[in-house]
Amino acid sequence: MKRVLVVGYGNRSRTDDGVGWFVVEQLQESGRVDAEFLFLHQLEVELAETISHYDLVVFVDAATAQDPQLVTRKEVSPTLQGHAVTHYFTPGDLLALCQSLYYRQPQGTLFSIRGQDFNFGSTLSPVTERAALDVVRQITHLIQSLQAQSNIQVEGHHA
Amino acid sequence: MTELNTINTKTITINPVTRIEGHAKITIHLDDAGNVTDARFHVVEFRGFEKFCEGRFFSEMPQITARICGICPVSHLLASAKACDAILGVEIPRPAKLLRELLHMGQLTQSHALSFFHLSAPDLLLGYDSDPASRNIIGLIQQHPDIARRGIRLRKYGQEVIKSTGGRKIHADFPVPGGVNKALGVAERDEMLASLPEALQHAQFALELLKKYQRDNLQEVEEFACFDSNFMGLVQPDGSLEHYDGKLRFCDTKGNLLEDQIAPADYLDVIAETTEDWSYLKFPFIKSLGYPDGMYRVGPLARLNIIDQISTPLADEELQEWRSQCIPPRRSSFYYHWARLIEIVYALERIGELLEDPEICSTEILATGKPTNDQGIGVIEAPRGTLFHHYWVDEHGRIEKVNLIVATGNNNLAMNRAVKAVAEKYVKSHELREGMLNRVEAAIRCYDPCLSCSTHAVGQMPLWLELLDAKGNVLQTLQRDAGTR
Repeated sequence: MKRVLVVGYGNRSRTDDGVGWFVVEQLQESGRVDAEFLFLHQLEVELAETISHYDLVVFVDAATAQDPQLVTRKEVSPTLQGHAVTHYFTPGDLLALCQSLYYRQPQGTLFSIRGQDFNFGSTLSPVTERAALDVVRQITHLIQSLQAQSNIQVEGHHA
Repeated sequence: MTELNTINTKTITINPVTRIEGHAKITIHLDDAGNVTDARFHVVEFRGFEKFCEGRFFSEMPQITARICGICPVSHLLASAKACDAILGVEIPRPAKLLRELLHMGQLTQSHALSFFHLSAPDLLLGYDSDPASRNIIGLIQQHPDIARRGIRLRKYGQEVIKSTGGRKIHADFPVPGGVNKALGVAERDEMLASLPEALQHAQFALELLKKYQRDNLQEVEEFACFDSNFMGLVQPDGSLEHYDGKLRFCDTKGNLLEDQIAPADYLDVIAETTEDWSYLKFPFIKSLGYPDGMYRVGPLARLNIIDQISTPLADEELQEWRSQCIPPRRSSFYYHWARLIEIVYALERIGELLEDPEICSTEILATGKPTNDQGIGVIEAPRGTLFHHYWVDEHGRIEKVNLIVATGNNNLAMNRAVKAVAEKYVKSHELREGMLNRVEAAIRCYDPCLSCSTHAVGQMPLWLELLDAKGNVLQTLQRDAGTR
């Protein structure tokens, strides 16, 4: 069984910026994926150690309204950016830190969901919520496929 | 990155200062011969918290003021909650006080660990004169992964204490007027206790690292941003180190007591504030000494300079070693780093004491009441220094006026002196090297300033730069735009 971590991050008090939290909550409540879940305001350096214990890390974040895509999915490559300072880390920074410090390289996937409204508020805008539910489905499929593949490999190994 | 911008031959601008919380600008003023005549640490962010809190209910203040900063919200939460306790006129239950202090010690650990390992260690371990492109946390990770891992573990422990105690790592809504809103579970307590020895090891490792640096670079350390100043902080009744409660003590540059056991509620009797038109940060000073002679320093260095002892054994041993080499007070700004690490040891020992207290898991955590006083003052020692929250309310508990003096504000005059002291020693107009300029920034980093916290003053936006000659005549005025920040 692969170890999977889903990280939703953002500010729940700023409407669509909390979409990462919403997605992770939905996944957790569904009980349909074998994974662990983390809710964060921002990606911090300590997370590099945490993710070293997983095979796949799924990051879910809000994107700014200028982003042309409503939902963007991309594989994260470990790259340290010069901007990595005290409290601004990207998924790529964390994977690179994980590699440098803990000699582990989990697979990373980032889902960015375009927000419509970043004003004060704790509920998502309708468009963002619909996109978030679509991301929930995509992540569910991603994790279930990974776990199924892992099971086949294990069974094959036993046979 | 640091932008080196030479504006004719008279003023050197370092903009922005890297690796501090927030943004700032430093100007160094030279005379015709290229000698430093003045140096200023400009704070150009504008926040205005004191003003826009007016009209809110006092009970909202912990949550509102915690948003001043995402790095040290715990400090604002606690000072604010204490001010609200005073408005309610209640004595909070002892278990609530223990839990608030536990939260505070978690904050102290994570904040000091961040300051040392992530912000200052690159200068110390990679060298001031090393390539600025790699003289940062990334460079540190690449060259000293073991040290970086320890820093991560230590900060993580502090963060976990905050999370376990307060429910969240950032903006925990845990301290409330009258106490706290969550009791500590036995499992959470045991988990924190189990990880404590490892955290202590990392802190002691960092201390040995710093002591070695100090021994190897003694002259530079002793002279680094070294200047006379007064010192202020909270102390216990017996003069021991204190961060959550206690009373104010002031010492002069030679360690003589100026004031002692001043009730925090009487702070306006001893401290006054003024402003300068080139910074949003206010300039507090000791009233009796006037401005600017009443300059004082706060934070780890000041706290260790004013106390008689530390109540926990390992930290007190470290204090004795710190004092064995010189009679206090220490004046070099470099010693903020050493003091910060001793304070981590104290915080970890104190976490252990608090977790072992029989009442730490009690559910007696909240006192209730209605607003009975028209003012409330809450003071704590935040990681960076003394933090004052003072609220005036009407008969309904609505905020009429707010005064916040944050640690970075308390250190404002001192930071300007620190910059000037370093600039005088290291900056010569015709011999500019990155390492020299970084030492100027490093002097500021000793104070670990948090500009997000400190820029709540209302004033004119300082969007321009004046170039002055030796006689003080304005030679040129430059407008600051986004491209030159």
